[in-house]
Amino acid sequence: MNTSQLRALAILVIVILGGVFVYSISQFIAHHGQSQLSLQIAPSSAQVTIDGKTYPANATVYVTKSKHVVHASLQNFTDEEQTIDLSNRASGTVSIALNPANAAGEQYLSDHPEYQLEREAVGGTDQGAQVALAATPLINKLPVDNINGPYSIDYGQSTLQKNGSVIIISNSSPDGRKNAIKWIRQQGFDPTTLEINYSDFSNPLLGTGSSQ
Amino acid sequence: MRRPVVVMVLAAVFVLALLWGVSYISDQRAKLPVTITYTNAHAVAVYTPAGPSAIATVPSSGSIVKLKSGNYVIKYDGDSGYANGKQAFTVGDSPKTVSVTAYYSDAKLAAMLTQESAAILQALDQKYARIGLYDVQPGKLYHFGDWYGTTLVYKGNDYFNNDTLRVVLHEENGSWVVATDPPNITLSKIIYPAVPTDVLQAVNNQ
Repeated sequence: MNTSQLRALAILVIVILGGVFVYSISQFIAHHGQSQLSLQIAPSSAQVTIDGKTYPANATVYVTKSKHVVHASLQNFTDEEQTIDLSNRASGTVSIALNPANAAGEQYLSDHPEYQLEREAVGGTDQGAQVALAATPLINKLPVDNINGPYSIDYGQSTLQKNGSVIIISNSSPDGRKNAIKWIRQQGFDPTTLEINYSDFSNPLLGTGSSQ
Repeated sequence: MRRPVVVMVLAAVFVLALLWGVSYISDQRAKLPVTITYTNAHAVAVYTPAGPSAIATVPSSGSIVKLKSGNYVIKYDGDSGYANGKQAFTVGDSPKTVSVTAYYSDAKLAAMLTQESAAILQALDQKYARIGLYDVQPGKLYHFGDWYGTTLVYKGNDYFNNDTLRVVLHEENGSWVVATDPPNITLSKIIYPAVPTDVLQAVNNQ
């Protein structure tokens, strides 16, 4: 490689690195003091505003470090609004899955299966189940039946926790209940954090069944 | 070395240094202030759950450390008569305060238990007429000796319900009171939110 080729190569490298540098600096300056807000809105054809200003449904935007109101609407769907406080946060995400407001909205989802998938992606379908799963992830592994335990483990609606689940251990002997707890621990869950009902257990201290 | 090559290398180093600076500043901006207060402890430091070395030391109670969102562990040495320990915490999307309290050492709690065991057994006797169906295990005191947990080992003849039970008592105004009524196979923090979780966990692991 001769001198002029080296010089050309050096200039090219400097121009490229300089471009990267200028871009990085400009990005840093442009977003200094701002927070990144990601929008996950389904259906993506919804009209979305942040503080009244329109944005694409699945955009990532930079906003001031303060409270922001995200509003999503679509004809035949129920409007949804969420407020996010980014005062002390570098980033945040708003996920909204619009629910059909009438038969036309239901029909719209039937006619556009891709929008249904979008709603599932942002947790818009069967939201109660999603919340329950988040509160008690063990239920994702249930039911379990072990005839050698012997025990069965299932779950039901908690009466103590909103959106919570109660773990029900049944078809069990005293050893089975011990084995059921051992299985729960083996799955990585701490019985202390669970509401467990030993449905076969009649507490000798009380002479009645008990829930724990 | 030829001059263009030198210029190119210097330019590359300069640009990389600036990019690193921009990245560092962005990284710092992503960190949140966490105020850490502690009592009866010293040598307090913050670790990642798997990290062997401290990522931040806490020189005095009320110090602020800056941490990214994530899970952390505070480890501390107890002052004389207090236990060493650790406490997990999570940094979310906003600043927070984490309070750490070193409790009495195991040796001190064991000594206290010998003084309290008669009163504890009496409280159980008074609360449960059928406590005679169980052997009350020695158990342990926790925290400042104001929490007690033990297991009850069945000795009756009900073979379908001969499970070992667990119970926690709390000392209130000089008297021991059952805090997890009724005793059960496992104790849940959902059922008993007023009982410290670490006490429930310790009793569930007995």
